[in-house]
Amino acid sequence: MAFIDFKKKELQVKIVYYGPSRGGKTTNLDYVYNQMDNRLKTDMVSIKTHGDRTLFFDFLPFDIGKVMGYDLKIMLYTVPGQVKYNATRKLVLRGVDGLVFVADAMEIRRDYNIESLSNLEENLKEYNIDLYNLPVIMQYNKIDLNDQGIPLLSYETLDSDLNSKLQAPSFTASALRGDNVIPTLKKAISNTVMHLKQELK
Amino acid sequence: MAQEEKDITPEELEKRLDEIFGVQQPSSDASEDQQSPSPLQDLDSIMLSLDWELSEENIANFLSEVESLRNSFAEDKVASSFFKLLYSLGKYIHKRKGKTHPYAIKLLQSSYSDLRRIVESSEVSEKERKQLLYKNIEKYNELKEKISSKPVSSSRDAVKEDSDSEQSASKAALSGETSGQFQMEESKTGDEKDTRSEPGFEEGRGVSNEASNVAENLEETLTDQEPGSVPAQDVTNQDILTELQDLKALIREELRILRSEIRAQERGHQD
Repeated sequence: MAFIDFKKKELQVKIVYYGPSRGGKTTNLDYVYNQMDNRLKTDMVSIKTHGDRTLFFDFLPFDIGKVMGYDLKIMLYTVPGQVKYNATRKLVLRGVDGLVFVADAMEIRRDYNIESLSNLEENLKEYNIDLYNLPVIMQYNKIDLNDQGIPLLSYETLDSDLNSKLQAPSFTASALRGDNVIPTLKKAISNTVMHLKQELK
Repeated sequence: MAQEEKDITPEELEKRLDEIFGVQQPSSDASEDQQSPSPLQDLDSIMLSLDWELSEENIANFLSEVESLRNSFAEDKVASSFFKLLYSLGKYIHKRKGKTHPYAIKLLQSSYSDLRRIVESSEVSEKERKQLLYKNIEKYNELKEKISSKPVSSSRDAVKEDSDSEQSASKAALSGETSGQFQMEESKTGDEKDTRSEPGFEEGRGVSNEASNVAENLEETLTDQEPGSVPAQDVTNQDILTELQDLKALIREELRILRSEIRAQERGHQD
């Protein structure tokens, strides 16, 4: 459930970008940050290892106006995808309101996507959150690699592997080029906000 | 931002998001133009695998693919030199594995990206191709320097750990594979003499010597300009320590913020 600051009359909505390591979660956030209107731009916090991998998480907050008389603050987080950082992933999921699952469309990453989705489900269970009751958006990233002849999973395969039960809105994307990064985020925000509105009523 | 007291509708929310991010409709993923397969197609996949994990198998695949491509590009001296540089870096990473200097991984990636440019783009002139090669050789020499200067500071125990063996192994891995080898790939066509304007260039010298000469000159210039400044190798160690301390401080700060956020959320839930 979203965090409500009654003093400030602020509603904080937490959207987490989850997915396998090197899938493009941070690249998504980097693109979003660069596309933001300068007037709204806030600092993006990113802690990376020497190898440019997310060590802890990325964090990008911004305001989008009022809902039910409260200022709505969107907080985007990514998790470190590497298997060994599960404790951090769990921690970042705490209080999550909406999710973007960034899957890697490369054929060789098929198992990692499935593994990551099941890890997400398990981690959410620890907070008594049912993945199927959360607003989730599926993003099948790295479709640009098709231009380089790298074997990719088809949309149908990805959807059947990851989305057959969830039936979440899904996008193919290239976070590197920015294709469908903003539509993914917009869908995630609007679905999460509308879901919260229902819950708060 | 407009201050509205009423509830937001999905349409309003959509409009507001358009204002923030601009109007972007979902695009189809169909690739517009089909290109003929690149000769680097397999190496591309291997590079992505290496990006994922520096496993024995990935590095072995990398070395074998680079070796095979080098033979295919034997006529192209610049590309061939690039492959040699990549091979040398691959060998070093293979030997050092988890103890690989982080700069070596970055250099491997940037060199590969430049190699792709010269192989796949027809818009890169011969002059630019050579400049890209020289740039990478300079970086390669920088790496060698970084590795050999690693254990300098005796007072820094954290940095010094295992440094002697590390240094000798790293140096052996790099120099054993490379010393003098770049000279073999030097263009003998004579069209190279007007391609560079950097100081230190001498016609007819090996590409490797040339680049290290430039690096040496640059270093000397910097030292001359700043008399009394800390020697370059000490600065490197100091920089590493400062970076580590900064990183620690950042992580501590982030943990602190996260803890307070969790506490705040817990309080929120209790309310």
